[in-house]
Amino acid sequence: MSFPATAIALTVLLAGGFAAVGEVMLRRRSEGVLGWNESFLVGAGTCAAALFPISLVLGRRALDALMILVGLCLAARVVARVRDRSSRGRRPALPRLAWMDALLVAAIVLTAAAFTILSFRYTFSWDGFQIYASKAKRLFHEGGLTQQWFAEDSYDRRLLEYPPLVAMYEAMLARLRGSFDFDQFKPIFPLFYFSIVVSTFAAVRQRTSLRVALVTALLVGLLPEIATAQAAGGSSDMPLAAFVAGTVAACLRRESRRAVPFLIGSLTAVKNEGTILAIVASGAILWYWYGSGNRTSGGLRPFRKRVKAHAAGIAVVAAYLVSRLAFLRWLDVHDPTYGPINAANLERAVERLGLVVRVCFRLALDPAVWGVLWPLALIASLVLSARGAKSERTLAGALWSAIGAYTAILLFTNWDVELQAVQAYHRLLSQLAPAALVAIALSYWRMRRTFDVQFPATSATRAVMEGARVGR
Amino acid sequence: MLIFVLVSGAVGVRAFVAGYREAFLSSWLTSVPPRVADQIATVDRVMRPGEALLVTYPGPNPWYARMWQRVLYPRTVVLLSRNQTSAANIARLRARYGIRFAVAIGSPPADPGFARVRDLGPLLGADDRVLFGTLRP
Repeated sequence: MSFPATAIALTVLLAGGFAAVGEVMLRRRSEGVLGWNESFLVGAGTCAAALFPISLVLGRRALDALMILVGLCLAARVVARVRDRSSRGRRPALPRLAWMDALLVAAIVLTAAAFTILSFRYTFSWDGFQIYASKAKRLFHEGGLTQQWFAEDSYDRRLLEYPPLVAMYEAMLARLRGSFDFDQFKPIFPLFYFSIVVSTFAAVRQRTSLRVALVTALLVGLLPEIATAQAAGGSSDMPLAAFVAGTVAACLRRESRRAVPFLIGSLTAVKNEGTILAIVASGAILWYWYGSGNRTSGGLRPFRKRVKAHAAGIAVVAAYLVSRLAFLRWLDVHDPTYGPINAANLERAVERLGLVVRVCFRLALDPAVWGVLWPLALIASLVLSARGAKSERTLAGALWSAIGAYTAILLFTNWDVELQAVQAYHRLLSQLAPAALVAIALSYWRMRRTFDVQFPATSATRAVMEGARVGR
Repeated sequence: MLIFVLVSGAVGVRAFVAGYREAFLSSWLTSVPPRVADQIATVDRVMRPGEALLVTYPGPNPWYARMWQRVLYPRTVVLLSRNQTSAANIARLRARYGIRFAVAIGSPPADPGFARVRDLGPLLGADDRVLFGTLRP
């Protein structure tokens, strides 16, 4: 395979187009890497969610129509930027970094480069090829979402249900190239990897030091399930992790609040589990608004006020969810992988509970895959629950609610339960790993602040050692 | 916390090394291995545009059979595992899709009713062979 320069250029062009769509949705101009990243996620997620209603209306012309829309948004934003350039002041200079921080930045860049090389060199995994790229090829030829699957393949017709984001990006790339080539889609995946690193950094930087944020960004980029294997094989778990990281960052950053409903809604357009995550995130935000555990701001009346104040955001999330549910209803596919929630399956689920918990524990504690991430994430969540701000407690609650939901899914599988867990659980956890790392970093910061208050002399010495005077 | 950072770093570096070893030492350069791509191209050249193809595979792993299906799309490729290759089933599918040609993968491959057959060579990484031919009318 030669160096895919054209594919890289077109992937970046499409990413710019998605960012432009995101800017239009958010009614703002992207500033800096964090802003671009957020706009890109919002734009890509929105386009993927819009593909179904557009397909209903335009049929085989849906993909082309969406691409024209992306192109128009991109052109409009480019023109606006060119016009606006003269009136803008100089960009702020980059901050001077302490040597340790510079070293961390270099390590992050090196890790990102290592993933990019690995991603280009790896061929597609089973899911990357047989699900997402295959769906992309159908979309490329059919021009829109349809109810058809490959001839006589009734079992895998369930794959029609998989949300279209990755397949849509690949199909658009193929349209721009003018032909479909399974080996030209790899530039897409480093984009989502960079997005995870940037979002994780943004989430942690908002509340801790630069150094803690850099270390967390480096660690998320080194997670095996994010940086190798499935992630490099073209599946959509890593892109979903990018949306999870983006949502967490937007929730924790006051200046990103407008993007939150779009990012939560976009979760439904990436992977099936995204709908569960969107429901968990929505529930967490409702809980946050209710102010549970906060004596000064909690209660039903302020809750009602907040719901009213955020009616537009709630409508945005509802629109994405309705689009997703309407798509599933339209397809009318019965996925034989999982049984419905009825008396017989509930009885089976209770019988399996011990086995599922045991297997999931074993997988989450696998040192070769996770190191000590999940035990530490549990401790961090307990620390945040006890000492964290309301938003941090909400993050901890949402994280473990999602893990609980993902574990509970396995109780209803029609497969051999252990086989299903072994095949799926690492990937499910990988989607939540950025949120777990953010929780760990925030709890570390909380504990450190407590320590600093109790032992000021020690903390002052450490601050000098850590280069606190070098403009952090 | 330092221990967590060091352990996580070590786990990540170890995974990268393993990933690089796998990617550079034992992975194909292309999603469709060159020999499989040649076999598919050979069949594609012989058939009329849009004509359907039957592919039988030994099962239970349909990876390569599905690769044929995905690569040849939008041509219709009907996949059958060995235990589905009864004469009645094949006759039904032939009538439905107007199938004249078949590819049989296996060791030995199932015979879907070949009139003439051509050996396209072995399947990558397996003892299986890939046969292609016209089916008896």
